[in-house]
Amino acid sequence: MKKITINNNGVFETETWQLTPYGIQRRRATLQTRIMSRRRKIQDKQLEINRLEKEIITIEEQLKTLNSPIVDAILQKHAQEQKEIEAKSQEILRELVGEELYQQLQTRKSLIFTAKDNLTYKIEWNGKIYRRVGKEWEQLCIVRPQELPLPDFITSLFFCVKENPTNYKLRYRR
Amino acid sequence: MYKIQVLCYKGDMKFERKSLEETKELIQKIEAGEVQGLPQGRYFLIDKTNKRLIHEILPTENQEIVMIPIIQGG
Repeated sequence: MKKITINNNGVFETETWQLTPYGIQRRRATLQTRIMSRRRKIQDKQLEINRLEKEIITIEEQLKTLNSPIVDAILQKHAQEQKEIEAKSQEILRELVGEELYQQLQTRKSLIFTAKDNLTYKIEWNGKIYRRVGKEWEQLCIVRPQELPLPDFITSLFFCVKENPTNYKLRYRR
Repeated sequence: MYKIQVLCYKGDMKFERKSLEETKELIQKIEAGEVQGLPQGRYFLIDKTNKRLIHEILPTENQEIVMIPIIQGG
């Protein structure tokens, strides 16, 4: 049976049904099933929460280990070694390319030299190398060994291109 | 005495060999990747004194050689 209600919030139409005894039993069964279903969902979520909490405990233990003073000492030692490697590499670079080119690299952030093919090349401080083509600097395609410190890479690049410039092609070929 | 310095990820590695034969053998081993910590590959040999490329090691006393890994072009 439909009923129309009017109040400050608007006009509403509501409908009511009388439940038969069979309907009441069906509704009870439906409600019980819904309760069971939600309880099962809560249980699953609880299991997931427990699993994640265990994971957090393991992760926190790992982080605690990695934050220990022993690990800090290892990191400090590594940083010190890297600093020494960098200093040694800079020294070798300076020694092998010569003081003039080394200073050029420090002040202008690039060093310019002529290779065996009588063309001019420029190595930038970040290890990128260019060949002078007309008035433009064209970048060469180079495979940088990941393990080599940057100053050593620049030293290698300097000698490799100077001695065998034809082995290196332009990155963007015409 | 031959002093050999190889550029690598540790900055450099240094070796000393008494004879020319021992030096050549070491260079072969390095290029073959048989020396721990050094990658297999071709190297340029540079005379540390005059900064020139060495094509052949001469039986000179007190030679200092720098081995530089050859960079591959793409």
